[in-house]
Amino acid sequence: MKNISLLVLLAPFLFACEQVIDVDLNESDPQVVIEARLEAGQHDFEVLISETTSYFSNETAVYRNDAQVRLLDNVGGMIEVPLESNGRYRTSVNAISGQTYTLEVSLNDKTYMASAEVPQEVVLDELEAEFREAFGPFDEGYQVFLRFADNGERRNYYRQIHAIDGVFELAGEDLQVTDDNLFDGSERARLPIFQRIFDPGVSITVVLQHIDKNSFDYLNSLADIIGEDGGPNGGSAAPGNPTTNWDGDILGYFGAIATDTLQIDLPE
Amino acid sequence: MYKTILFSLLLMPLCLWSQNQKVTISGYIKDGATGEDLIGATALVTDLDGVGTTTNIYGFYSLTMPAGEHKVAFQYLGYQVKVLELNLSEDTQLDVELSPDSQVLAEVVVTAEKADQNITETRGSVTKIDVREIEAIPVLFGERDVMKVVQLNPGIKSAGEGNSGFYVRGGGLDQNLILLDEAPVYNPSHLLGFFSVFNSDALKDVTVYKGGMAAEYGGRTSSVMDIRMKDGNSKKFSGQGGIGLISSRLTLEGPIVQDKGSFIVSGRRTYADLFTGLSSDPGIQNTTLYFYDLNLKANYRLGEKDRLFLSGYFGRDKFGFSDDFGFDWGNATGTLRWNHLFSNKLFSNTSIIYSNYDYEFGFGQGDDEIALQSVIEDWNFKQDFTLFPNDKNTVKFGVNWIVHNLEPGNLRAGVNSGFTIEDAEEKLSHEAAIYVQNEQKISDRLTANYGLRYSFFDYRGAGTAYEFDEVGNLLSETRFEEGESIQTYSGFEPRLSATYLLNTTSSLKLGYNRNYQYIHLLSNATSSTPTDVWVPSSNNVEPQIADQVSLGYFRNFKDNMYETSVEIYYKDMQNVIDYRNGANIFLNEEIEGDLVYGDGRAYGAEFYIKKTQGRLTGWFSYTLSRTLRRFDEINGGEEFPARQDRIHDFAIVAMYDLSPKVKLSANFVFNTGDAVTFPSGRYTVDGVVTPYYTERNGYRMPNYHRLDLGLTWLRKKTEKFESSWNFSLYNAYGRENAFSIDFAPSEDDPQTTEAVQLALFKWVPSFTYNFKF
Repeated sequence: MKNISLLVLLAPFLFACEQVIDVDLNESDPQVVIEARLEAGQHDFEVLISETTSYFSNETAVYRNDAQVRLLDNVGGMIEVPLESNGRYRTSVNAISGQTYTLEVSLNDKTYMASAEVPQEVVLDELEAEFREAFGPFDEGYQVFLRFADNGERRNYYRQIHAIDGVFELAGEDLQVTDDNLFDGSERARLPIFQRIFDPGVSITVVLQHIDKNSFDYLNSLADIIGEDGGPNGGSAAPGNPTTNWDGDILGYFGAIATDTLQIDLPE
Repeated sequence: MYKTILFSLLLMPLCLWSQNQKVTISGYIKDGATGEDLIGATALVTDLDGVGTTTNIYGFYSLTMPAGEHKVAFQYLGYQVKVLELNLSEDTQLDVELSPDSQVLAEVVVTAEKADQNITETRGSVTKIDVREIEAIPVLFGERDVMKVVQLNPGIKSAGEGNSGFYVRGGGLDQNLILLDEAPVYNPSHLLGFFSVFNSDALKDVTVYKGGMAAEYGGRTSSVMDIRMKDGNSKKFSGQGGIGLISSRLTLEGPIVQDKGSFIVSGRRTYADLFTGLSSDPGIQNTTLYFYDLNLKANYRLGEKDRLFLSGYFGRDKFGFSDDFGFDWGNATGTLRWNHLFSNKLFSNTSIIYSNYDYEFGFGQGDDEIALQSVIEDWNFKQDFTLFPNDKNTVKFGVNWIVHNLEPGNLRAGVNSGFTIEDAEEKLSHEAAIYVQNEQKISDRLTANYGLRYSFFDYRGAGTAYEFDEVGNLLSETRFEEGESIQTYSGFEPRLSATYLLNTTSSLKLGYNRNYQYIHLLSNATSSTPTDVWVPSSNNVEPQIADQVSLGYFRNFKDNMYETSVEIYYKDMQNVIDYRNGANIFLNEEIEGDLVYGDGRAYGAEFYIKKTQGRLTGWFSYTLSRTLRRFDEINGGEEFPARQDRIHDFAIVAMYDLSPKVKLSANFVFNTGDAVTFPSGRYTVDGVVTPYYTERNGYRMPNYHRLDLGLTWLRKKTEKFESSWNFSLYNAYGRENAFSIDFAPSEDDPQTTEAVQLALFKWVPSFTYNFKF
């Protein structure tokens, strides 16, 4: 809900002007970033290890190819994840819903660990499209809603990703995650793709991810940091690094997901 | 703690009742033209050195002197002095009406106080706003705004570009107690803070206490802004109004029964929505957007000893788009007051106060509907006594009981909405206080106001107490039934302010105060928004506590033509609140797990020069200050500057009478940029370019400066009708002040990152037509 940019309210009043400016930023020491997502079922499992760069740098990212990566399950199994190329470590894993996996990365004489529980499979039942007249900064078009059933026996977390005519949207405000606080146990939960009105005639692909709590904590705090909440400075009440489940002083996260995908062709 | 009590008790003078052979005159001092009570008018026995008093907030005074013949002068600046020769043998009730000084044109700004009141007044750290000054000072869109004029004073900083919110001496936005006829106003702004809810046509007196506040005030740690509405003209029916770019205003006032009672009705409404329909942009055409304010007040004298006041405020913002989306929010307050004189030495005020803030928004209609309403409701009972035991002491004491009821979210969801939500749990709490204070003339040179307030807070069931571990994970829940106490807090709040007159033109002032704050504002954004959430103190959230000391030197020059002051202060804050990364404030029952608690300090020096007389009037204010916070969980436990840590902050306000009909005005402001957090690096996770932060508020926004110009042209002035035009130009030289700086991937090339500055208002001209009859 906080994604509804409050500046929308003021649009008719503002005489705003935007310009790209030069800001002198401090250089920090490079920091290790490790990201990995384990998907329920038999899928490729990829671990990406990189380092931070200076903010305005145009150089390609620095990747770390010198790590040892292992995935452990909670019944004594262990899988080595070998380096593929450019900081990417990859192998195929059959992840079982309900099991907790631990990712162990040895780098710079230290070992970092993070755990994640693989969520249950999720079914995206239906996509609904509703026509909207022009509104504030939005032209007329369609708003798209996801329909799915939520398990009322436990706290669930979701992320939605969408593509327009096959091209995935990755802007800050397209990072949309939610917990089931507002629709716990609903047979037909209905979530909009927030802040997006789609042109008639396009095809929208929606991926619904059932995500674990670690992923939610990371992505939700990330959305708060990079989102545009409307207050001065983009609006985060607490700008900081996103909440990570790594036990050491590094960035990124290790999450687990289950996904389902649907597509809808909007009327002309 | 016992030391504090003991200390306060020892300070209480034991000589309060040891006077005899004396008589008391008491009554009200009023404006002879309108019958409005004059707040802070003085009554001075001219043949006795140092015997005098000022009227209280209801215009009441009580003055005790030896029996016999005396000359008593009644005065209020901008009014003719009235000297009465009295032969007093017994206690006398004496109401006095002062005539507005015919030499002083209504448009000429004069301080509404005794000429040297800034020197002699017991309290330092006070900003009094002359409501007449508000008319002249140019502001955004020409909307007169007392809260924006307040920000031009030392120690008070604007919450941001065009914003009516303010920070006082390093405190937060929610730490200002904003009272309208004693009723707290929870969200004092319209349209995301660009306009305050206070229609200056309806206001009589505005006083901001930055420190050393008297024991009668409590509930917020940083400041008290005490706003009093006009009572209404008790002599004749009159009105005033204005037509402006953004809104129109109309105020009507008059007697109910001449000299016995009066009323005032004042309204304002914006009409941007009338123009949105004309827009060729369909997105704007379908948009509803307006706000309104309505102030109502009536008073009636039941007899010599009793007077009733009923006042109310209703204001609302409405925003919507066709039938698909609606969002509106607003305040409603009501105050019923009864003034009673038990004797000519004991004045009583009893108030029952209601305050309500709510917002509601909804999407869709019928089965698709999802709507949410959130309410803050206060019922408040206050009993205050003012006792005038002799000419050396004025004692005030009283009690205050507030019931806060917070309804964070009442939800309505259509069957097709897919939502399974229930109403969020209501939060009930009681806040009570008892206080006593005395203003004592200790010697001809030394006056002190000292007091003690004891406050008590009870967070009550039915409700749930949550317990969290160190990183904010929920450990357990405990259910409390209705009437059960979930958590209580209490504390003593000592207050002191003292003035030592060095000579007739200069004084030293000392202030100390300890304030408790039991309810707290949580805000996602850095400025006030309609969806702000208030939370009571609980088992997790401890009351915020602030201690402040201040010392000031006040000096007037050239027969009070120039008022100057220098004040220094140090404020220590405990249990201040911040958030964990990614804190979700909206409809989060476990929000307390997302909060972190720390401490803060603020210190600074405030310089002020004001020219009060002549064709050119105005002031210069400069504040040099720091505001720092410390939390174990933030910035590695290191102290960091608060957002409002603007080291240099200054303002110049000038008003010049070009001719009796034309008045020019200008103000210039400059301040150091806000402390902000910028990234020190970047990385990409999951395709999202992410800023890497290394320290909280380690950077600065660009310095802010702006010049505004205004012109008031008096078109017509007769006994019966007066009209004027007001022209203003906000941001006259078009400075693009940064409202925000966003760091994000470039829209043209997502692989590169850039910083984008947003500036809001560049040259905003406006005009208003004002009239009075």
